[in-house]
Amino acid sequence: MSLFFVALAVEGVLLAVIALLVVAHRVLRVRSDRAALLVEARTAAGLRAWLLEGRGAQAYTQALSGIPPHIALHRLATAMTEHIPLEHRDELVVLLRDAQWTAAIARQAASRLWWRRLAAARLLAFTASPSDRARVRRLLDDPHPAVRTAATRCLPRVDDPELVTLVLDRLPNLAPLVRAALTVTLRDLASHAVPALLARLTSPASPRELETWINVAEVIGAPQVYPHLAVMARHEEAAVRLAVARALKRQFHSDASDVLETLLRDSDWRVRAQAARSLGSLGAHEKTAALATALADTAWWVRFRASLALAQMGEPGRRVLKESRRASDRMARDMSSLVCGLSDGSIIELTEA
Amino acid sequence: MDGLAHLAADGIRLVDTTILVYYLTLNAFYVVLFAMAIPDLWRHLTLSDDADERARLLSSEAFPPITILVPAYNEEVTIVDSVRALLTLNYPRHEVVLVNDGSTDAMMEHLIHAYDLYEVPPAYPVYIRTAPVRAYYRSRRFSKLLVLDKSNGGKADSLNAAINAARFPFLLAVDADTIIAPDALQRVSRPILLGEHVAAVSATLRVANACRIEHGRVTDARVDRRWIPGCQVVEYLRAFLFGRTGWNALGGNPIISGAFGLFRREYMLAIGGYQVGNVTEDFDLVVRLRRYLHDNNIQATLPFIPDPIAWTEVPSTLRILARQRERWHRGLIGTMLAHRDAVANRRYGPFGLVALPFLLVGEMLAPVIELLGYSITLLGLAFGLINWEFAGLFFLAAFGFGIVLSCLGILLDELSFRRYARASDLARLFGFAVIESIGFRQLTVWFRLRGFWHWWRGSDSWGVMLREGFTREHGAGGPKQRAAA
Repeated sequence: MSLFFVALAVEGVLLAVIALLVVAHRVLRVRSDRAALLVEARTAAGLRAWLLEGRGAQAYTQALSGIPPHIALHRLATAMTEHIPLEHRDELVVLLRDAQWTAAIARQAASRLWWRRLAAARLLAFTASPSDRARVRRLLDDPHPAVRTAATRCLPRVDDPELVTLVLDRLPNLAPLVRAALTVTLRDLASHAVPALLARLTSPASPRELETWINVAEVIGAPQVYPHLAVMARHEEAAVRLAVARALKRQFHSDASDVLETLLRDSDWRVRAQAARSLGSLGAHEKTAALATALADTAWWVRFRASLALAQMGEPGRRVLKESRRASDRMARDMSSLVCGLSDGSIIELTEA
Repeated sequence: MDGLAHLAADGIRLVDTTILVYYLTLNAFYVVLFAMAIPDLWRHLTLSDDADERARLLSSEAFPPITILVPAYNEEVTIVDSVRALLTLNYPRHEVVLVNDGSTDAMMEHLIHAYDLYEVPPAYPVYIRTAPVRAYYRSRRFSKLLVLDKSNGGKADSLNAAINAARFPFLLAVDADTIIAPDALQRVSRPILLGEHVAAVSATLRVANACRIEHGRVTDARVDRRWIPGCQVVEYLRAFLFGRTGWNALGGNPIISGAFGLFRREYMLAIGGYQVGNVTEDFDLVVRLRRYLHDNNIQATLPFIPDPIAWTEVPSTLRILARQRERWHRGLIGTMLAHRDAVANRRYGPFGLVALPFLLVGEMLAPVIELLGYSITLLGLAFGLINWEFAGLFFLAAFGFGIVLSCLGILLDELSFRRYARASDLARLFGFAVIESIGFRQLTVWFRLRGFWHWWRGSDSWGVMLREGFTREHGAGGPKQRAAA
């Protein structure tokens, strides 16, 4: 047979196989979609019987056991977030921990395949108990950021101060997604997180570590950290001072505005802009004069943030802005005009974002 | 005389064999891209599966703030819906900076009326020089909206003006008529959230012609019955789903579509924004960006995510298609020649050693090589200089392999996102896969050859792009003109 016919046959077979795969996949998907509808009806009925008719969670867990584990996990995650009230969850978790499918998924925490470990982390976020400490620790150290992010949700269920400390120590080197997820989780575990945080803010640490921990302090908003923030405001690294300026917007300490006023004169424009912003968030009326001076700052962002902060302060701030529209400094004049011309909605949007 | 004929026959066979090898190599490279796309596609599908996690993260500060840049020129028909769709994207922190590039229709009036715009003083920094901005407007209804009314300066100039007024560290450049999925910003942020230091992110663009659009959203994806947009559906599937996804494993994408691309602002400012006067400003930007990163030893990636999150209208007539392809090719030639020192240059890593040579040989010179291949094969057959078997092999490599590759694109879509739910659409896709390889592609060869001619003559025109508008449940969708200076 000539080469042409061989090549023709190969291409023909390839096309036929592709077409067959597409059609077969479509047929299977249509069937699985139909099956999914039945599954949904069955699990919804179980959920209804449990939550509305008070007949126990067994019917629901049985319905979940009868479907493929990955679909059951998906259904469970949706139900947990959207339907099942907090007070009912423990009852369900007790039953789920005895189910074969959940045990099988939880064992995947040690799998070599990241998507299996991800499934384990997603499940353990709902079913973990203090006995899963080792598993959760392993998942928190996972090389895949998505697995680590999912594992952070297990922390409140394990409720272990040592794990919280471990998380705080690892935080500075993690991806932004994991860091954000962990920071939110740490807020829910403030009773363990705050003492560990205080210990770290007083010990020698790299600027990157300090910056991360100050960000955690900002999210938790614990007043105990204020004295440490006030000290860090004099740190030689601009990134640390910037983090302090940001964190102080949630510290309603009587001296916080004084520290921010100092930061408003910082050598780094980013720190000055953030200090102005935080003064606005605190509503520090007594600092309008300092903000008025910042309207003539050489950096556009500092002028912008200072003018927004003044606009946030109601009448005293607005008065300063109106006066600045007649100021001798052109930049201060332009910026005051810009912010005075904004609607209240825009000011809220711009100060928040 | 016999010797001369033999020599000619040998020469033709040699050239034809070289072109045959060229086709086989190029298509084999696409097969490699296909193979490389599969694990990446699987990874993204698995990661995007957890909507619950994403919803939880929306309340945190994990998502980076994004400014959406929208250059618009004479878009009065669709602008209000398009802007509303952008403003209502499901994302915790984003703003929209729309630039009216000296429109001559009633677009600005429509915007002022629909969004209750009011003028604000021009106190915005100017990092990149642009045509004069006549006025800045904010909206009383949507505080996330900033509108710049400026003199006409072209798309690149408008994007630069928008960059100046942007507040956030990430910029998403979109066309005013690009339709974006509600969760598009969440998806496009994925590489950033996973800890990659990205300079830019691109995503899959799909063809919106014949799709049902409601309130600026695609609610029913369809494949156009007409062959010109239909073939482009197949073309886009192949190019984005495995072409660009596959490039992730080869050091990232050489091209980020101007219709939807996310960029880190600091790098955009560092390279001076878009180059005004370049007819393919998006391609030029990516090349300059990559060179800047390499030259300054910055370890940043330009990943592609395969999620189909943006939809765009493609030309539906030959005339418009010809203008578009001619312009794209003219821009490609200009940019490749401007950056010729980076081609096959080890200093630029995989981009210089793989992506740029591929663009040179597999894209820029492709129409010349293809025309040469078709002509020589047909002439050789006519004069009996090559046999039917060889010609058959040539056309199998040129057309048959192309059909297989297009069908692989359809297969990948079916296995992953399955956007075309109807069996009739699926059948149409297979039909268009054949027409795209035999007929459509040869037409684009001709259009791209014209690109060489216009580039030689120094043309920098965009041409008038007549668009049809979309099938809409609400609002008008009549023909509109789209042009840029």
